Amino acid sequence: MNILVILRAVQDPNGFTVNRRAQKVFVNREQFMINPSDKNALEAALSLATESDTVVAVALGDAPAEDALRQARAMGAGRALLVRDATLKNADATVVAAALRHLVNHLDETKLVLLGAEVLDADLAQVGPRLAAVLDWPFIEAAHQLEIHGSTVAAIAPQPDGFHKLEADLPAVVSVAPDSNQPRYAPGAKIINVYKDKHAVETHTPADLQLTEADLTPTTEVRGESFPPEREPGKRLEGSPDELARQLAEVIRKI
Amino acid sequence: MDFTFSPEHVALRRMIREFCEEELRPRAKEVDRAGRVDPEVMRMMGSLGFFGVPFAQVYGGMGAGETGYCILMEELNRVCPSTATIVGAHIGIGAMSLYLDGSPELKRKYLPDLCAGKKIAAFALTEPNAGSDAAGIQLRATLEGDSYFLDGQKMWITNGPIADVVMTLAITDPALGARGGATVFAVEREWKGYSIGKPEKKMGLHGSPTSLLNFDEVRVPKENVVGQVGLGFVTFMKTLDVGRTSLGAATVGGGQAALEASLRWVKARSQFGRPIAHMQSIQFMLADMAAEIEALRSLVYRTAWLVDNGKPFTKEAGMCKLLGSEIASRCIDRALQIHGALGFSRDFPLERGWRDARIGEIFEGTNEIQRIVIASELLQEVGVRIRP
Repeated sequence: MNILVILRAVQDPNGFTVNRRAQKVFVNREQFMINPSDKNALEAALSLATESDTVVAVALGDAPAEDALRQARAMGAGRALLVRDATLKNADATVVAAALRHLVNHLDETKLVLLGAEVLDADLAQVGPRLAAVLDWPFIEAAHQLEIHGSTVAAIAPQPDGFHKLEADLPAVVSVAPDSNQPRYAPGAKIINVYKDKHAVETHTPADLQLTEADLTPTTEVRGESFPPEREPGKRLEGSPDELARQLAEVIRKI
Repeated sequence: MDFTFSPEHVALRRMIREFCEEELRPRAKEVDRAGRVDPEVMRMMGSLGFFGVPFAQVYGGMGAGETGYCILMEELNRVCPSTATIVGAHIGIGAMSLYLDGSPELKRKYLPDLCAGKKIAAFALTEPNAGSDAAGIQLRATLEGDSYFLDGQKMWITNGPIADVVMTLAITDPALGARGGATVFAVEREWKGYSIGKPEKKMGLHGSPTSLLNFDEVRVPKENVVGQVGLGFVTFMKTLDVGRTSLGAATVGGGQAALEASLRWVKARSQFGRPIAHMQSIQFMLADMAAEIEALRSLVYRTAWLVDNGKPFTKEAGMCKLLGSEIASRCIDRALQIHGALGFSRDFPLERGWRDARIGEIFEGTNEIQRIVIASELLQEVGVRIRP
């Protein structure tokens, strides 16, 4: 059975600076990395996979996405699929979910789709639940400690009243919490081999996945970008432990 | 001309850098203090293939060539020079002499374990009476039946205390001496008569162990001759050329670390009402550092390209080592000056960097020897042969 992992290539924060005064993000060096919590999802997939499972890394986009997939192959993913198309540049979560649904249908026997619970760029957290909805599969968000028991997946995940152990029937979509595991390093020899191998990444176009015009039409449009209002600086409390406790209680009461 | 790294080398550097930042940087201070590298780090580096970067995959290596090896040395030395030195002595000179000239059987016997880091290699040339005058070695190897018996001493051997296999240069024909009468032997640490001296107390590179090695009639089977009997000196000189290239790469990392630390500090430190980044005196030091490091980087990776493409590189390797060690020392010294009193403090990594860098001008052939190597290559190109 396949365990799919959705990877996104994001701009490496070391390559840009955020200037609040100019209300601008300056890209100093265009460099990409795998979205960190997607790497946690990949690690979860690699450690969940049994002998009979194949970890399939999936990404949408062009060169940075392909590079993310090669890294995944070097880390141990058995297959890597790239959906490449110029129109996907403007894809919103609806389009991405539609493309992924077609991809899941294109592969047979997928039991689990994993993705990172947080994304370094917009962090809308939309793809996971939308994909689960269009596939009509259960969805667990921000999971820790995933386990597969027969035909179900269990995980610890945050709920409004704290962390709970949740269980869902397979197939399912699970978003993996950032820092929930320690992603492995890719062994050097695998990096060398995967990057030299022309066939390490299988490329698809929206046409071979039978994506329709409607699938490719975004439902949202970006009209502009602005910075969130600056956070007010915190307040430092001083005094004896008793006074501190009283002051703190006062602050909490006012919230 | 194409000055870009191949995609596999870019990806390799990214993995190595991530490893260095996550695993080595938090431990670098402790490595210097405790005088050893955490065995867990050694194990991790082994499983990722760090100990066999330039060697072919058929022998268990990574197959990343000299360029990959230079990338490894640059990244390791940028973060932890002690760790870099252990790996460099293991690959660049220890295992390299076996890889370059060893018989296929001998390579199959040792290289897989060496590449996996299950065994550590060393390279034993220097003796009490033979340093820069490498041809003056006296360690004797006498043939009796199907074995050689090695008797003598080696000194200042990097990895000496931890090496499982030591590539040892010995005199097999005293009449010919080093030129035609010296042979390389792969000697195992468990063999009778082989013993290791106390680790030396050094100014820097505290985590990289160095010691004397004693050979008291150590029996070495004939099969453990590396390369041809009598041509050991040639094997060792070839090996040192490769080692010098990667040592140059290490100095790129050392210089780069000094520049990066300085760039962080000049933004953070204010004097006369603004960050010291705005002072021209500081800017000049930064510019000089960056210019020298960039020139060195170009030289090192072009030399790696010469190695990977089977072209002669002896002269360039000497230049990598000579310029690299001097540039790294100068950059670290400037960075220390930029940091002021904090640079002199043991709480800041620059003090360690300064101590660690100095040996670069001494080991693997002093810089004076490098100048002789470069000059004799230069003069040979115009028909003058220099006899060392």
